[in-house]
Amino acid sequence: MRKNLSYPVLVFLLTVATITFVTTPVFAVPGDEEHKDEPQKQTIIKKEVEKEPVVEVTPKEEPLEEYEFDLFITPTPLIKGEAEFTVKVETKSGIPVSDAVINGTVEMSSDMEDHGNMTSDPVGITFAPGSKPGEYLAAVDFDSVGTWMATIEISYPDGQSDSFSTELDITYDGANPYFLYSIMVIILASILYAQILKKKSGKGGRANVHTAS
Amino acid sequence: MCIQPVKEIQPAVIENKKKSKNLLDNKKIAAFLKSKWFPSIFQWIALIVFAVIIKETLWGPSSAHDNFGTAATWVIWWPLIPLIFLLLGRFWCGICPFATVSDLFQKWFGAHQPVPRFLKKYGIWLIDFFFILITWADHVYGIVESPRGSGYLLMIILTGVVVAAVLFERRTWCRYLCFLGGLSGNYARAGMLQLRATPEICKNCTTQACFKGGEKAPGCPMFEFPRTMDNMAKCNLCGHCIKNCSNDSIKLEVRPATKELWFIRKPKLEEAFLSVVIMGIVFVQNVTMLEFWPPLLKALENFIGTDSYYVTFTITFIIAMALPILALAGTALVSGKLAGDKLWSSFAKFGYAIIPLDLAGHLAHNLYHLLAEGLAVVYTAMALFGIKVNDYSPAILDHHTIQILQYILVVLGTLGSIYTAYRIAKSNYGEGSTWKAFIPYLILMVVLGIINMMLFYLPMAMRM
Repeated sequence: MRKNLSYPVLVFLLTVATITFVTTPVFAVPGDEEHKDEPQKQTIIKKEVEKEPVVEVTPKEEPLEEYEFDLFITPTPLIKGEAEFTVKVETKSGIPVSDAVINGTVEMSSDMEDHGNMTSDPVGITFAPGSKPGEYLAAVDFDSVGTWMATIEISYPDGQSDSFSTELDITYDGANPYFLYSIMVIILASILYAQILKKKSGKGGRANVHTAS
Repeated sequence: MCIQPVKEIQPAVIENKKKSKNLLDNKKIAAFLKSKWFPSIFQWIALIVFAVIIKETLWGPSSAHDNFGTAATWVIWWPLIPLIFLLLGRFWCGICPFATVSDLFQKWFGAHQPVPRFLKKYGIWLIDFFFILITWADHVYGIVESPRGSGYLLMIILTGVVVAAVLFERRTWCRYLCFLGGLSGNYARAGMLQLRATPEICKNCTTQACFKGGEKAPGCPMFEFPRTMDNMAKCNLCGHCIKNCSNDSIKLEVRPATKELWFIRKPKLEEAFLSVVIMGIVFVQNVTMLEFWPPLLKALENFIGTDSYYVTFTITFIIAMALPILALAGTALVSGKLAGDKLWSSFAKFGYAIIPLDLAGHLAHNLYHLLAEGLAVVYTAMALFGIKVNDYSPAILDHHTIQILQYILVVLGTLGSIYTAYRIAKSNYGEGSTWKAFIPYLILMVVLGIINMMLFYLPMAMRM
């Protein structure tokens, strides 16, 4: 008479599942631990154009315009794939600047290990005017996880220009690998246990006829 | 000589004995169902598509709008599933990729252990629990709107399927644990296809190959014995019994929708409970997609004093689940008193009458997603091959047309439920008590129908 091994089976599975979930951070994203307590930040860079040294202005000369710009990047957090850069340019008095010319480049950081020893040439990005005055949009494709350097150059209508650089951290957004490892462990453990059961009850044993309840 | 009148046979035992057309009398259909191509060809297609869905949900675009896996699962498959159940019973279960994976793993690694007793006894309650849990988790964690969430759910189900396959015999997961199996079992009972054996032929059979298996195919994977099978709740139309039966006892017949619900011999409380739970879930799904949901949520937050969505949604969820259950229990109490039956007996018998309205509500809700977002599947599939289309309209039909179709479905479902309740009353109670038992349920079905109509009257949000 075949033993009913259902309870040992269930205890075994529960034990494996418990050990797996306790010992692996199942739903943690790689790298999450470092930034666990940091609040989510949207990448915003606000910079005022440096003031020209104060020059005694004669009544006939007009002062240079002062500009401000903001950079927004979505999605947040930045993930591998397409991202959208939005630059908003306005004068210090709040008037949107519609005739600026904005260009930029993105390239992988010089730390090659960060990108699995891959390197890349700088990729040019061109901003096009958006739907709102003073807004400029560009789509950028980050094809690798890791740290990237974005450099933006702004040419204002009156001939002034400005540029800045910022580091961007592109994260992995695929399935959590720990979760998948846990799934594999459970499946492999159950396959292994099934082979043990098969050996105990006789190889290839077909189930007896059981009528359903 | 005094001739005694023949005793009238209990109506609950007799099904309508009108002869239905046996589809297996058609030689082409019979040949196809008996061939090696059935259901393999459908299974392999489903498995390939499933593999693509898994890959896309786990590693594809993280926006639901751009993800083929999400589109294929929640915009095409989920809306079409109730229609498949209505027309073809549990045929989807026969070609389900999880079942195919189960069969493969069992073939390579299976230990074929007997199904544990507690699963046989409490499996349906576990199914009820999983169904409620997954619906709750979907709303709280946003599974449907998240490709990763959808992928994780599929992987968790896959894990359960594989574990059940390698340890236990046949399709234990499908029969005793699959939450969708519980839903499909209920809907299949209202379906238009039935598989039965011919008792007169079966009584001479000595092999019972339909259950045990034979040279041509394994035995019934769903633990059913066609000879005594009197419902379509478990049959997944895999065709194994059709292939194995050398006596041509198996019949595949078309029947009126909901007919099986009229003559349930052994109504089960847990199955009736699942029927009414599904109604609650349809309410929840509808309410949370309506435009008045955010202000309703806000009002609830102010009332309770917390802005935690986990708390506010859980309360809403419990209320939405409880309302139809309490409504049915109240109706069962009244009906039972009028007809001389007990509360839970009446609950179990008439709970099945809600199934047509469940099916209609489910179809109507998902019809919106299918027809208002269906083209998203096409465009996201094109994106797999590098063809990106921006700013597309995913709609197949306009909102007004969809709304009219939803109304029609709800009306048909309500009428189906009313008629089913009447037939259940007629087959379970004597002539004097039929209407007494039926009237309370008539009122209940009308009220549920009106609530569903009101929910579909209000504008709905998109899924993608």
